[in-house]
Order: sequence, then structure tokens, then C-alpha cells
Amino acid sequence: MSRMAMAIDLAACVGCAACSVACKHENEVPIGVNRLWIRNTTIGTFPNLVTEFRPEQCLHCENPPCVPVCPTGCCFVRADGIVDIEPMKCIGCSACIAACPYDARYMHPDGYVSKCDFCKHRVAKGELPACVTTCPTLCRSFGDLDDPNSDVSIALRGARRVDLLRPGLGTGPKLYYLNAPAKFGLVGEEGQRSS
Amino acid sequence: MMTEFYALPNTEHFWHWPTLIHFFLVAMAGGAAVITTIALLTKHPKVRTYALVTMVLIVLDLITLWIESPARFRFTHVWIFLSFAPAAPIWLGAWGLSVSLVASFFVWLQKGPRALWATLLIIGSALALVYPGLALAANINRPLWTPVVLILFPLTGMLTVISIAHLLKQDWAKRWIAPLSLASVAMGIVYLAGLAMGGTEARMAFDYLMGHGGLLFALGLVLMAIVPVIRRVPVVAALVPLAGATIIRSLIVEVGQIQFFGF
Repeated sequence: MSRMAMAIDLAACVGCAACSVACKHENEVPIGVNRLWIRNTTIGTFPNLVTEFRPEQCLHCENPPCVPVCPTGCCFVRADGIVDIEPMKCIGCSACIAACPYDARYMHPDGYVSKCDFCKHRVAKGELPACVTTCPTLCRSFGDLDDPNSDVSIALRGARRVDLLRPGLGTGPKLYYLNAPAKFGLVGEEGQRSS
Repeated sequence: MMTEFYALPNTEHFWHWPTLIHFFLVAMAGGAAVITTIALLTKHPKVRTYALVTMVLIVLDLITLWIESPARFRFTHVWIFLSFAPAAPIWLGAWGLSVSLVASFFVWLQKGPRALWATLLIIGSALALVYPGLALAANINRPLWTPVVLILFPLTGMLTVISIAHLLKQDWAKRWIAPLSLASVAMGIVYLAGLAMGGTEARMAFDYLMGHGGLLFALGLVLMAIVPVIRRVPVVAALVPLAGATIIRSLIVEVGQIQFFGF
């Protein structure tokens, strides 16, 4: 058993969107929908401004609300912790889209739901997800949370601050935001936890 | 605070107008199954007619679901019946409707053990009636789909089918319209009050609902509330609460797809 996870150092992210482009290309994501997007938020009053570039995608939750609502079992959590979809069992009912608190899922034009799968085809070959390898500032870390020597575990240990998206929902996201530049942590989020 | 995006999160509506038709038909189908169940248990002389109506409504609803499904030509729906997912409201609803369909068929045929069909209908019709509210309330991330819809939807579902029964001159239906209408209005008010007096997100959801259909919601409540006044005119007494219940249900499904995380 393993728990694949990702950490993004927001202090290093420059919002170049190379990860979004790489994801689109690697996974042939259709026009009009996205597996990965960048939220660019500016707060404060000039000259005291803070800008946060926050990449968002499926968080591969420990308690994913999208999985139990699936009537066919096509949404499931793999042994390595990646929340996955089996397209051939999907009926396109959108129950998982409704349940996702992060707007991470979309309807593929071929009639099944799709989303980020941490580039499972690359992970199976021992490679890193496309967004990780393409990042010019190396702000993304990926690996097994249960392995203390994995990139993500090392990044989490070294972070000044660790934030989660919508922690109050109890979904247990496995995508961690490190060192958020905003004064009070993630912009617009409540209940962050400090490392 | 100013927010911009490179690429956009997937915030568009995922359920469209065919889903609203489904929510209307499933209210009718679930309600009709409940009526067939009661008719079977009380040995009502029209039980075969009610069973036939139930079958027709369930088949119509299933056809609507199939048509609206983006996977309709992949025939993946068979996986619902090859999987065990009792935590999924849609799985419960599909089984509730299917069990009700089979039991109604045998009731209509008047074949087989009556006690078995009654038992299956009790379970199946209850699931079919409750499932739409459950399918909404399961999404705790969507603030307009509060737990109140667990009661509001079965109530308005029964009101929908009882109104149709009244329209079709079923004598027993008349006495149930006013109580169901007033109960639905009461739950509608509880629903709004719960939002208006809730936390920050609930109040934002209340404002959003008012801005995107507040007048329609009020119209739906008024249409159901005036039933005791207009009940002497049978056609009006049937159509007015039917319209009110349908408006309220459709608005909650349509507008309720919002969650404030995206923007």
C-alpha cells in the first residue's frame, strides 16, 4: 500500500501555467474543460499587495466524496491512493461531479466523467506526472506519503506552512499547498493548518 | 480581492433540462408506486389500474434517463445492476424503480404471491420516492441542497402524483391535496429559513437563490398555499399545486448546482 500525493510550493509558483498546458497535452484534455487550472488572486491595497498563483486540480482525497455516490463503482480509490475512474463503467450520471467540492471533474465528450489521475500511465512507468516534470520553478513535489524519503514527504517536512483546500469538509485532500504567500495562508480559505 | 484564472475550473451546470424532466417523472413514478402499494394493501378495486400507471411512469422515467445519459449508446447502465453501491442514491433509486416495476407488473397480471409483491412495493416505492432528495442532500458541498430536501422532495413528489390523480377524478385524492400542499409549503419555508439563518455559506446560497429564482420560488409556495381556497374547482385544485410543486423542485435542482468555491 502507498499513498501517492502532491505538494505545491506556492512561494515558488510563478503562475506560468506550464503545468496546465502540459496536462492538457499529456492527457488530451478536450477543449472547454480542464484537469488543471491556475487561480491568480491579488489581495491588499497598493502598495501592500500580495499575489498568489494557486494551481488547482483533483486533490485525490483520503475520503473522496465522489466515490461513494457512484452507482456503478466506476469511481474508486486505487491501492496507491489515486482516485481513479473506469470509463467503461461510467453512465455519465454526474453524481460524482455534483459531489466534488473542488470542481475537479468534467464530462468528457465521449460520455464519461474524467479528471486528473496524477498521470497514472506515467506513474506506472516510474515517471513523474507531466505537471511535475514541466514546472520551471520545481514548485511541485510528488511521491508516496508513507515513504519518508519521497519528494513529497521531504517537501512537507521542510515547509514553513501547509494548507489544504476546504479542510472543513473532512475530505482529507492529498494535494498540499506549501508556504502560501498571502499573509494569513491560502487566499479565501478558512481553517488552514500550520506545519 | 481580485481573482483571475488561467484555464477555468469545471463549474458549469452538470444537470440540464432533461434532468428536470426526470425529477418530475420520478416524483410521479415514486408517488404512483406508493399509491399502488397502498391500494394493494387495502385491496382497492382499482389496484390493477394503479399498477399499470406505475409501470408506464417508471418506463417513461427510465427512457428519459437513458435519453439524457451521455453514455446512452455505450449501454453502461447495466453496471448499476452488476454493482453493489448502497451508499449511492442513484443506485438506490434505480433499484427502487426496478423493483417497483417488476412488482407492479405482477400485481397488474394478478399472478404470484401477493404478500411478496406488497413487500417489494413497500421497499421499492419508498426508495423511489426518497431517492431524489437523497441524491441532492448527499452533496454537502452544495449549500442549496440542505437536509431539508430529504423531506421536501418526497412531500412534493406525493403532491405531484396526488394532484394528477385528482385531475383524473380519483375520489380519494381530493382529501390529500390540501394537507400535502400545506405540508410542502411549511417545509419550503423551513428550507428558506434554514438558509437565511444559517452560516455564511448558507446565507450566500439564500441570496443566490433569491437572485436566480426568488420570485419563482415564492410563486411556487403561493400556488401550493392557496389550495384550501380553490379546492372547490377540481381542475384548478389539481393543476395549481402540481405547478407549485414542480416549480419548487425544479428550482432547487437547477439553481442548487452552485457551489461558491469555484469563483
